[in-house]
Amino acid sequence: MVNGVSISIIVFSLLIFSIFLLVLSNINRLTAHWEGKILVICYVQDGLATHEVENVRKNILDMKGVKSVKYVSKSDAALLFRRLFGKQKGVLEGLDLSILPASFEVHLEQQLHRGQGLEQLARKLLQLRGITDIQYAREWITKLSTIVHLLRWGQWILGGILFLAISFIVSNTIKLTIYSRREEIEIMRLVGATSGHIQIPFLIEGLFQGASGAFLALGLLFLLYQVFLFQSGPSIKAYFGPVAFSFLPWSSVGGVISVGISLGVLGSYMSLARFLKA
Amino acid sequence: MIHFYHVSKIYSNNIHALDDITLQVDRGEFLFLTGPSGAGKTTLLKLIYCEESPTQGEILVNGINISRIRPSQIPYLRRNIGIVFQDFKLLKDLTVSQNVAFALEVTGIRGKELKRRTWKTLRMVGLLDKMDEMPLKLSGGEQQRVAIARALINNPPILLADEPTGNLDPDISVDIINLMNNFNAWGMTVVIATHNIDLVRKYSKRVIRLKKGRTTDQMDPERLTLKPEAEASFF
Repeated sequence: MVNGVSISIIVFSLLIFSIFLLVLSNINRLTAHWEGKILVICYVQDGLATHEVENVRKNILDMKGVKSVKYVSKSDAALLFRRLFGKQKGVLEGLDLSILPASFEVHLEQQLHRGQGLEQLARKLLQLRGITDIQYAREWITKLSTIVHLLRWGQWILGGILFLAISFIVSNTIKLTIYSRREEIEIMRLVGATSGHIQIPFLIEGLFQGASGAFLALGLLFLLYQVFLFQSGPSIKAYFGPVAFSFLPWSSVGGVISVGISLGVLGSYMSLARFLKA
Repeated sequence: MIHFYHVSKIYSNNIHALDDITLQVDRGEFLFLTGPSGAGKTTLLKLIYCEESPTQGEILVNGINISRIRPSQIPYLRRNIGIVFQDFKLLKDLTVSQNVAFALEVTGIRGKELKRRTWKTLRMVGLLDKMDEMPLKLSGGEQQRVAIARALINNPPILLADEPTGNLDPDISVDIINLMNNFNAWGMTVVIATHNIDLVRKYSKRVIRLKKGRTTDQMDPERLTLKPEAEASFF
């Protein structure tokens, strides 16, 4: 009876924790996807020779925080422009697309999205010989980096508080289990059982309670995830776009199981230690 | 077998449970510890089986100075002391034989040896026919016999009993003390804490009387049997 209550509380607590992890991992994936899209476009001066273009490319690549550089020639730019208009490309007839400049698409290292180095890099790019202008979504990037920054701190703070609350609830529940068997423990002590002999069965029980609680919580989470996907299929896709809303990664699944087992074993150990001292 | 040298016990709430107790219980002796409630009888027994530690003084049990015993050694000391309580302290979910075997199992004994010794001990206390019963189906006297069997299964040299007849009828109480008397006759040191004066009067055993944590008087069997007037003043 008491064991059933303990496992239910562990399941419920870990389910809340897992839901938090699931939402968090998907938000992380989404922000990582957005961050990957951040680029700086550097417009190239007309009439540069091929070797000069290559020099500029090398100079950009040597800059700190630059992940990759892609050259978009004037003809590539015209092609992209046409593609942008799709079926309405007829409206472009008669226009001289050679006025579109060649450019470099500069993809950035991830740490640059979060730091203050982006503006510094932009200034350096603008000073390069052969670069006439640069373009990047400064405001949008600042907002995104603030949001990502807040989310990352929030996940640690919220996760920490949630973990502490769950540890408290679980250890108190286990304490109740042990309290319900206090007579047995007292008699074991009186007849000469060593602390190890008394503790081992409770620790094993704590381990099984924690592990089964974690597996049940993950099973329930998977069920809820499937129901959620089924219920809100198209709308969730609209939010997440090309990033699929996916289940917990294996590392997090392992983490939830480890947390469950640790809570069960540590909760039992600490409650027992206090009980055996009393 | 048991020596107290100027032992005092003060609990954390500043209650002086025992005050400068010096006493000796010889090997194979049968001792009654009497006195009103709160006199310190239970504390004195708890000091012997290391449930409490003395605030002052030295205690020797079976040659071991338990005032300085390490916590990890306490279980091994307790295997040499059988303890019986007023409320029996039996596990309701286990049968009579499982309750008795329980005390042997914690020492690591299993299998045939466990069964053999459980059977032998239950026969000694006259409960062989009840070995598969649940404790709550037994009478108070029978439950106390199970508790005694559990206390004896490790063949301890010392048996401590804290108000063992407190929950029993007078006739049954005599049976229980007789049973302990038998074990004493086989060489076991027995210390019984009780405030049942009528029961103490029936046996010619040494009596130590405690009052407010001090030994107020001691009476040996000879005094008890030869001088009834001394007995009257003692109680």
